[in-house]
Amino acid sequence: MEVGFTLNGKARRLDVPAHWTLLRMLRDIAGSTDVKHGCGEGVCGACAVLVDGVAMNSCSVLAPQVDGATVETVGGLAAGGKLHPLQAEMVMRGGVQCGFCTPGMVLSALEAVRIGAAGSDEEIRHSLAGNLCRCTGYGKIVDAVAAYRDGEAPDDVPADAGEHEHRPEGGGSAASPGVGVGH
Amino acid sequence: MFPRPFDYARPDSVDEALAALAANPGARPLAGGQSLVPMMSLGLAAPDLLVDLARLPLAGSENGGGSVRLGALTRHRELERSAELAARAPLASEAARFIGNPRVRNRGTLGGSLSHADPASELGTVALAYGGQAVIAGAGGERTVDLDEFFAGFFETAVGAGELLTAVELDVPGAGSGHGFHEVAGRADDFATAAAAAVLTLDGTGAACATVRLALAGVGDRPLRVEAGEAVCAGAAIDAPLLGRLADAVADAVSPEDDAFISAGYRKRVAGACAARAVESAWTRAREAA
Repeated sequence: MEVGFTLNGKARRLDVPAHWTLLRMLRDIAGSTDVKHGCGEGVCGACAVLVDGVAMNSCSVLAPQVDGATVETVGGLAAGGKLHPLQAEMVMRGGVQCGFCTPGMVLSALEAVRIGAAGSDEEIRHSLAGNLCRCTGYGKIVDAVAAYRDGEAPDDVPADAGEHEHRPEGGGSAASPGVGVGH
Repeated sequence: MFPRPFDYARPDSVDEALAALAANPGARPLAGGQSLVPMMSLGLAAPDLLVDLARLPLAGSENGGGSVRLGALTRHRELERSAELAARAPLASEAARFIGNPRVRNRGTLGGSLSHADPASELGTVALAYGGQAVIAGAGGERTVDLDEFFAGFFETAVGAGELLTAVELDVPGAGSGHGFHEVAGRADDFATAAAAAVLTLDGTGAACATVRLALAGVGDRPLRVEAGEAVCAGAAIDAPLLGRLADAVADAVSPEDDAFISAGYRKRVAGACAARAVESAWTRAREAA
């Protein structure tokens, strides 16, 4: 069947089998491989996207259910060659290691801050329940969300910062990937 | 890890939805899909036809005749975050925070949860602790079922083939009453090891409990009322020794099974503790409000 929706600001009309999940449609037809397929059963949160601004697990939504909706993925956040401020905080504070959970984590956190469900570290942890990270131990992610909430984000982190060893001044050595921080 | 093929319908009215369900014995209604879609991905459910209820006018709530009517498509997140719903049905609001995680609560619905009838359902305990009526639509029109009779067994309810749960009418008591909820789970978004909901009404003196409705989840084949626990509280002032007797009575009354992670004996103990804490907080709230 045909599903018409807006994906990261662009109108899309895709022919998709009715039994496909939103996750499968985004990755296999729309090319949004920034949406991660983790558990596929609504447990891990890696596939989270925003549908009409509301965070949900795309593995637990069927493609036809977003007909007429606006879908945002993490790939739509960076603008003008710069990371979204929350993405920048995640990079600067070591909230990213392998990066697989990061897309879902960022979108869940964005919603939490927007609706006022990130007022304290405890609230942030409740809001990120169901977004599983097997690398960071969560502390740095919570720190990044709190810093973003408080408007501390630098505005000059390049959009490809997460893809290089280089970290902007002040990022700290603990942010380097692959050094087994915290183990 | 993907659902098997099925047909998909998105009717605009309850009557169309009922007709689609009645015409195909392999049809299943789809509300928020937060249990059904993962079950389909896991191969635990394989409906021939999904009837998406998204366009049906079944959200919203209203007060009337001493009860609070909640539409079946009320989302968990609305119960959790809406000040209006929290004022109308505070136990539902408190319990909703323990369902799944925020992404699940953003999609999942009251009617879907009750119709799915997971034995660990938080909202199942809410329905039983308040009591009231389930409103069920079918080919012959609407009928109501006492919420005490709604859960019929393991993932089974009073909703028959070709029928839809369209609303619940909760008997939310007014002044001189209080609610409590307590859940223990292995992780923040895990199924409850045990959960308890209590609605307590004070007697005329305000110094003792007249009645308590106490419901447990996670400790049987369905959400269930534990009348042995209610009897411990009826007519008594709630204090620490009574709560100890209540915990023992509830632990004795429920019959959970061992699973891979949790022994039946531990679950009984947790059930007793959840019940005691739920009743204690219901008592405290009722006394503060009196």
